[in-house]
Amino acid sequence: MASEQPDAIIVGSGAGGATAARVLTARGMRVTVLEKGDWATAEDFLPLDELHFHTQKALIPHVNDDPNIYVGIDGTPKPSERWWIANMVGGSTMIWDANLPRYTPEDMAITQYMPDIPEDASMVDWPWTYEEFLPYFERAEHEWGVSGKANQAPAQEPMSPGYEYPMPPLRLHAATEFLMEAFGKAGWQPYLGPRAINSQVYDSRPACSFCGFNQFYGCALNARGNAANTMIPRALSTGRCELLTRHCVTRLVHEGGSVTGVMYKTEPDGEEQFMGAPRVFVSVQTIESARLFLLSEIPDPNDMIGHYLIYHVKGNADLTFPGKPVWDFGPAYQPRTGIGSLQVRDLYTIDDPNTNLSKGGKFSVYDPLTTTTPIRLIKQASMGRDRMNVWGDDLAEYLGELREQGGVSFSFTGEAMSVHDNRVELDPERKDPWGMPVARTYYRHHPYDLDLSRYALERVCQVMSDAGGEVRRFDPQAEENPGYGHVQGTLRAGSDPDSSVLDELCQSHTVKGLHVLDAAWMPTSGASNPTITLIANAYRVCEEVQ
Amino acid sequence: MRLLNAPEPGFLNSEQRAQAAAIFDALLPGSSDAPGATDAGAVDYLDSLLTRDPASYYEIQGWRDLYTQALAALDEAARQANGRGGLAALGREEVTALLGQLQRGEADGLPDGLDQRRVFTTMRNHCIEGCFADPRWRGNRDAVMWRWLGSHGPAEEFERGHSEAEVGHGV
Repeated sequence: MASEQPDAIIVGSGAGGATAARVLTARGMRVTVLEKGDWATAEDFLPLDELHFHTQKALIPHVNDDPNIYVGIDGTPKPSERWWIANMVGGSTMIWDANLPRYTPEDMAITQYMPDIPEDASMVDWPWTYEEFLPYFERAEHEWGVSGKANQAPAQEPMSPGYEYPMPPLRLHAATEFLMEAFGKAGWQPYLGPRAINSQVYDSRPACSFCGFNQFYGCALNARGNAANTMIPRALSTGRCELLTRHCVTRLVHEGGSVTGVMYKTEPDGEEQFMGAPRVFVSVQTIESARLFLLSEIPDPNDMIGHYLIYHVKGNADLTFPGKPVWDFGPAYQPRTGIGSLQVRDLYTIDDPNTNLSKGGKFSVYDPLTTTTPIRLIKQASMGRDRMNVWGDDLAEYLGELREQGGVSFSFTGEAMSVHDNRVELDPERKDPWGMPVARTYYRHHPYDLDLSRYALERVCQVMSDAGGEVRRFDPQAEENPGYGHVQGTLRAGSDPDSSVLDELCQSHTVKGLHVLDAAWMPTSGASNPTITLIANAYRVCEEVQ
Repeated sequence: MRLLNAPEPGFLNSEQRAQAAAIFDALLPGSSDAPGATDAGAVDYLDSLLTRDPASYYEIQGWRDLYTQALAALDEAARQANGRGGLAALGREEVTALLGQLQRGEADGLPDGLDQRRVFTTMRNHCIEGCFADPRWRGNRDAVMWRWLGSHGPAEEFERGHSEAEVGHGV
């Protein structure tokens, strides 16, 4: 293939890039995937070791030599860690939580659900409808292997009539029945969430063993779906996909308003080389895509490239239930160190006379020891709202509660206001190991974001307090945000070339043939874990491009 | 495989080990029915960590410098405050009081250049790692903390094999 141009170059082999390779090769195109990292195998993920993989971050870039630069409230640029980046075949799907709720009409047609949009926020409707996404969600869930169950609760994502996930949900966590009942008393209906984690043998991969090492860890069992065990093998089996590892794309090459290929390096101190193709699909995560557009001097008549960077609104709360035994009810249930099961979407939109907040978000529900392995959990041990990071007798008391009592942990994901000043630039000084300027981010959460996080956590803590819970950790969104895994925007897609960077096929308005498939195209943040929507969009774009 | 082995402890001398052990014992104290940092041998973890090749992880050299400076300074501060021995001669309550001052950045008698809050946070983090990391990193002796907490299986009872006095600060 070396002497022959592929029909398309795909930059990055993660969620978006691998899906593009799968779809384009199925359509008969020849593609070359350029991946900066190497192949990782199950052996690279063993032994399951928190210190090695999480504390000392064996699988992600280290902040000392491959950071982003963050400019916060005090205006001082500081190196920031990129814990959501995994440079390997499969990208960050190799270490994800595999939590895959869909974005819904509330996310895509946001102006209909948000009557009081703050004047200084830029909240726009997406140029597509949920109905247009539906067939691609369904295909994504079946090909990526998502376990779940349709129509469990009114607030759940709407499904096509007769649609069902390819596998039943994961077995119940031991806390699930208690929590369902407690929420039910408040009129809320949690449901068993969709996960790209096998609940039974599927796609020649085994069912989850509930080992307790999920997000931040590779799945040594291959029970968790990822790009490298779903999309990449399908693409390679066509014979029309070439996957080149340790190929770092340094620049997108364009001429006369059309893409002509990419420049890449195979060694950090090596020479840049050219590879040509009439189409280039970039999917290297939001901030990296913005950086690549800036490095490549993609024409930007509206000063939009890198702008409207968005991090989801986060918030965390942990509670303990005095007198409730710890969640260990035998093999009919997940162990407490399993992967949890509940989603709560009852605050996706907020209808409360006591607040002007309207667009909200959702909770993932865990036991404190579920998905949070012990070192990370215990470092953030709190004994109340004002007793954070405890030690000494307080820490001993915290551990005693953790050992003896049932608990619950909420992770909130909410709509974040899009603001032009929140942005990615090229750092004028710092270079990455490949010799390219690193991304510099400017970010401050909007007051709406801060209010939303606190409101949502207060609501959920009230429901749990009514069920006998006592708040131990209460950690709402802060105004500063040096970086977070759910990151969108920077190359906003839209119908109008005067107010967007990409068109409805996520193709540059100014460079034809150049598409972006990571979450950089998202016009607004939405309020759920973004990846199944990103994947569904990759199916949509790659089925529709001519 | 990307894995590294944890080396035999060998960076800290016996006085430094005793000083660090006194601090860790106060950061996560054990009791009659719950193991603490001393039972877990958290200092063995720390010493092994500091013994590792600084090229294997980018923070190791900074930690070496921090402990070398901070342990000596805290030991001297303790000596001056109580007029007898250094850190290792203090009881758990006295060490706890000193750590409380350190956490607030208010400990007396320490060099101006020492970032007290950073020292405290680093030591707290390493104590927790020494208690709850995989035992192959040489702390969490016999997985005592995991087994008691029920971290990777059902919780087990903890029975202290020796009296506190015999165990001392675990060195």
